[in-house]
Amino acid sequence: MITLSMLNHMHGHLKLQTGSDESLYYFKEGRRIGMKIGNDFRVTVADMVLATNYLRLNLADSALLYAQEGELYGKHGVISKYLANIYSVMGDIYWKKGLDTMALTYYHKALSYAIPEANYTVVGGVYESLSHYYLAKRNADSSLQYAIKNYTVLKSVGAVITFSSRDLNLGKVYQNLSAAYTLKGNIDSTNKYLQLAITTKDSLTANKLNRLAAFQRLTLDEQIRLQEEEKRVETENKRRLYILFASIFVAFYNHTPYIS
Amino acid sequence: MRYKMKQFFIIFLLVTISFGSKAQQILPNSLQIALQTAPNDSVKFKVSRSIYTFYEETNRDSALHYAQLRYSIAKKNNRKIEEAYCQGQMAYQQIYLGRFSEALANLTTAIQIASDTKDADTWELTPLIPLAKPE
Repeated sequence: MITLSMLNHMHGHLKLQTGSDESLYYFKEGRRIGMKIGNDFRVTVADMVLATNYLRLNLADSALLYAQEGELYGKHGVISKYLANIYSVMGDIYWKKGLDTMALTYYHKALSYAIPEANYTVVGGVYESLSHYYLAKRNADSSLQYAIKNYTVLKSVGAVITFSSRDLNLGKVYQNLSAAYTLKGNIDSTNKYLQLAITTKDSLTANKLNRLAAFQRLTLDEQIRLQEEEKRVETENKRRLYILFASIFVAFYNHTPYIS
Repeated sequence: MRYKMKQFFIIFLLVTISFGSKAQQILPNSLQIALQTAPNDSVKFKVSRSIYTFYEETNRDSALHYAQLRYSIAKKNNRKIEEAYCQGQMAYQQIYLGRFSEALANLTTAIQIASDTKDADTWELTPLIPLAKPE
């Protein structure tokens, strides 16, 4: 059962990354099985991903509900790694709801869990959120400071981190650096990072599109194969039916004089 | 002036490198040793889970490697549920590496195995703690 819960969860990730709306169904199914077998870990990760995805759909209240549930189960199971993710998404939720102070509190709470756990996905994500936060507050120095920190983290762990529905990549970092430099009035750096952002993002988008196209070709081929298989079975059934009728007819014909 | 600029540049470079390397993912020695000295496949399976978790979100190629290692241990010992579980982990890494087709193939097989097999008496898959609705 724990394996089925996990596999449903992973299926949700596949649906999410290939642009299907069914992802929420699979995440919830994974959560339901996790609840049934009493596994804090499976419930916490499901809540975390559901919260992230409801927020992506601009349903902040539903997102908050799952995040709060995830916090409870994460604390109960002492699942520190994913508590960091939950606090990070709670920061984003409160930010979306306009509760700035709460958002800031949860961003720092997320960092306090993520840094000791070396959870760089969360560290990078929170730095990005903080960079946006201070950009909105028109605090150029803090925004730039967090954008640079995010750059350092991303450079050290790889150019692209995709986690759940959140993409962390150098393209976004360059964009944040550019925005912070705009706020500082530094035109040269703004242009430099904007150019880098465009190039990097274009390259990442092209890669992602190629992979998606290959996957869609595969699913299309699979559909064609299934349709052909159905046709083959149908033809085979018809053939068997004809043979049966023919056999009955022959048997009936051969036995007619005897019957009469 | 030129000398000072050079000095500043060197310091800046050193600081950048030190910050960059601070976040590098280096597998703890204890885990490496535990894996090398594991007395049997069951222990090796358990230790490699910790290593997989270590790399899970930050180094997908390494994480995939350890998921595949776990899968081969499970397969060698004919542990069906463990096999399915590891295929799920492999699929997760493949999804975020953009290898959707391989991920789908792994998930389809794994779901079939997991649906057909009872998972009593498995090796440790994830921390399993009895769950009551927390306060």
